[in-house]
Formats: sequence, structure tokens, C-alpha cells
Amino acid sequence: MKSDKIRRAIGGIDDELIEAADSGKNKKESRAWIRWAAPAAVFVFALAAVFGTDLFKKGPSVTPGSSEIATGEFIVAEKFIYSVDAGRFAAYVGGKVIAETQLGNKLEDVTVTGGWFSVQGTHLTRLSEEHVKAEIFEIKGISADVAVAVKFLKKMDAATTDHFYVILNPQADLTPVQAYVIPDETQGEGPVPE
Amino acid sequence: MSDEILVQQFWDRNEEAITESKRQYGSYCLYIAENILHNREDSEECLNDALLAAWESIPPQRPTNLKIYLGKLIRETAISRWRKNRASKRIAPESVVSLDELEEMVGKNRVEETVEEEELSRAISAFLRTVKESERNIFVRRYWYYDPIESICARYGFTKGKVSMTLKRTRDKLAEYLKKKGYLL
Repeated sequence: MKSDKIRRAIGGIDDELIEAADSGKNKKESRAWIRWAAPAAVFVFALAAVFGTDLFKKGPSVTPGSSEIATGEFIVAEKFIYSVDAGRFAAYVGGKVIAETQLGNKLEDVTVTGGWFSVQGTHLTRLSEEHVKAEIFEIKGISADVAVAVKFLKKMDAATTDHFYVILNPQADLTPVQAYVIPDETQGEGPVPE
Repeated sequence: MSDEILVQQFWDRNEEAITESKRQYGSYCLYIAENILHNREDSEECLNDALLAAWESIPPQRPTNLKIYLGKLIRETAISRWRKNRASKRIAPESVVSLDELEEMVGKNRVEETVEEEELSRAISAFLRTVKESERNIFVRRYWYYDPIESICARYGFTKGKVSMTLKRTRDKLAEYLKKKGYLL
């Protein structure tokens, strides 16, 4: 078999890699962490509200510094976080998926930057970055100053092109769109259901 | 007992080293063998073979991580046994699935013949350090430990879809990496 050499070579990888995979660092029972549904990009509302669009402009390691997160200590393995690059909706933070039937007119074309972050406590370290084009739509009955929906035109690692994702203005009264707010999982309330 | 003391017992030719190694790392080794052979009896024979191999190789070897050293020995022993079983048609279907995945990764390419296996191992280790920890661990669990997908799902709390997708993505990235390095042509 052509892959025999590869298979044998995998057998000889570094001991620490083999040990690490057995050490259970990512085991779901070892810490409070968020499980990402494959087609959905999930936001940590509190984190994104604090860090907003500066997340991708601060360099490889984003340290919140003196930003206060009222959620206290939490440990999360990795998170996928995205934001609109510029313009009116750049500070909006991600919410849940919304049905297309709830949407109104298209408002504008934007670009979005998304990526994986390693999160520990209040410390974020960027692990990856990708850029895609997207479209912004109004949500019927909801002011665009409160929330809109985004549809990615190209798949990202944790977001599909099949869904519309609500993004919310953290400065606004989100009562009308409470159903689309992703709860703050950082309190260790358990995995996000799929 | 620490690995340092245990390894010294091997060096001192104290046969207690085998008993103690079996006691400390026997379950770990059997787990690896059973993932490959799906047969307890064969796995236990492989454990004995691996302990014998350790006795014969220490000294001159002086492993710093005896658990992984034994793990590697039993892994190779179990794979050899698996090949023998395959030749005699005694083989569990689960064993071939992960090999098919690696074969698919190589695809129409071929592995550079002159590259030493050790060099390829180092390259794969270097690649694994470039990917996310979760991707790395899932890859190692699947292709080193031969964990079934369901076992990986249970370990990390991921869905089957996510694990399969993660493995595919990592295999694709590894193939690209090996091509760039000239190991896949």
C-alpha cells in the first residue's frame, strides 16, 4: 500500500505528541468548554462585546488587559470569532441562526474576518484568520441599529454559506432580539446544544 | 515507580522491570493493541512480545518516557500481527478503515522513496505542531492510537461529523505539507 510508509512514519512521531493526545487535555469533562455545532459560528457575547472589531487588528495575541469580564474565571479550549471588517456593522457581535423568511431587504455587501482563538480566562490568542465576503440583510420588524443578519458568500471554518446569522449591536437594547442572543457560556453552564 | 527507576531496572537486568512495566502500562498497551486487533488474546500476546522487545532493547536504549516507548513497541507488534491475520483472512473490518483514510490522503501521489522513515516522522511531527491542538490530538488518536471515530467523539464531546471533517481537513493539510517538502510527489 502506498500509504504504508506514511503509516509507519506516523508511528514514529514525537513522544510528546502521542502523550499529549492521551493526557486528556481536551476531554470534555476536564473543563467548562463550548462545543461548536459544525454548521454554526457561535459567539461569546460578552467577549465580543468587550473586544469588538479590534480583535483582528491587535496582532497574533490579543490580551484583554484591564477589560473586565463580569463572568469571572472560565476556561474554554478554542472559539471561532468573526466580525464585519468595517462600516456601520463592524462592532456588531454574533448571535444565533435566523430563518430566511424573517429577513427583509439586503442592506450592503461587506467583508468579514473570522478565526479561531484559544481562550483561557480572559486571555485570547489568535490561532487562525480568514476573510470572506458577505451580505447584510435587515430583519423584518427589527431596526438595523439593533440587529441585522449576515450571510457568508464563502464558507469559513465554523460558518457555512447555507445559513443566515444574526449580528447584534451590543450598545442597543436587545430585548426585541433576545431570542437570537447566544447566552454567555463562560459561566460553565455546559455545552451549546446543536 | 518513576520511569527513571524502572528503566534503570532494565539496565540492571532486574526482571522486576517487566512485572512492574506490565503493571503500570499494561492497560495502556492493551488498549492500543485491541484497537488494532480487536482480539483480547492476540493483544495479550502482543503485550508479552512488546515487553520482551523492551527487555531486549533496554539497554542500550534509555527511554525517558517508558509508557510511550512501550506503546510504540506494542503498536508495531500489533500491526505485524494484524498483517499476519489479514493474510489468513482473520481481520476485523474496523482495522482497515483508518488505513483506507491514509491511502486516500496519498491519493494519486507517491511517497518519495529515498526519504528515510525517521525523516518522514520528523516532518509529520513538525506538521502536527502547526495545527490546532484539537486537530492534532484527533489526528493522533485516529492514526496513532487507531481509535474508532465514535471513541474520539466520546473523548472530546464532538459530533461524528466534526471529527470526520477535522480528520479530512488535517489529512488534506498534511498531504499539502508533504508535497511542499517533497515527500509526496
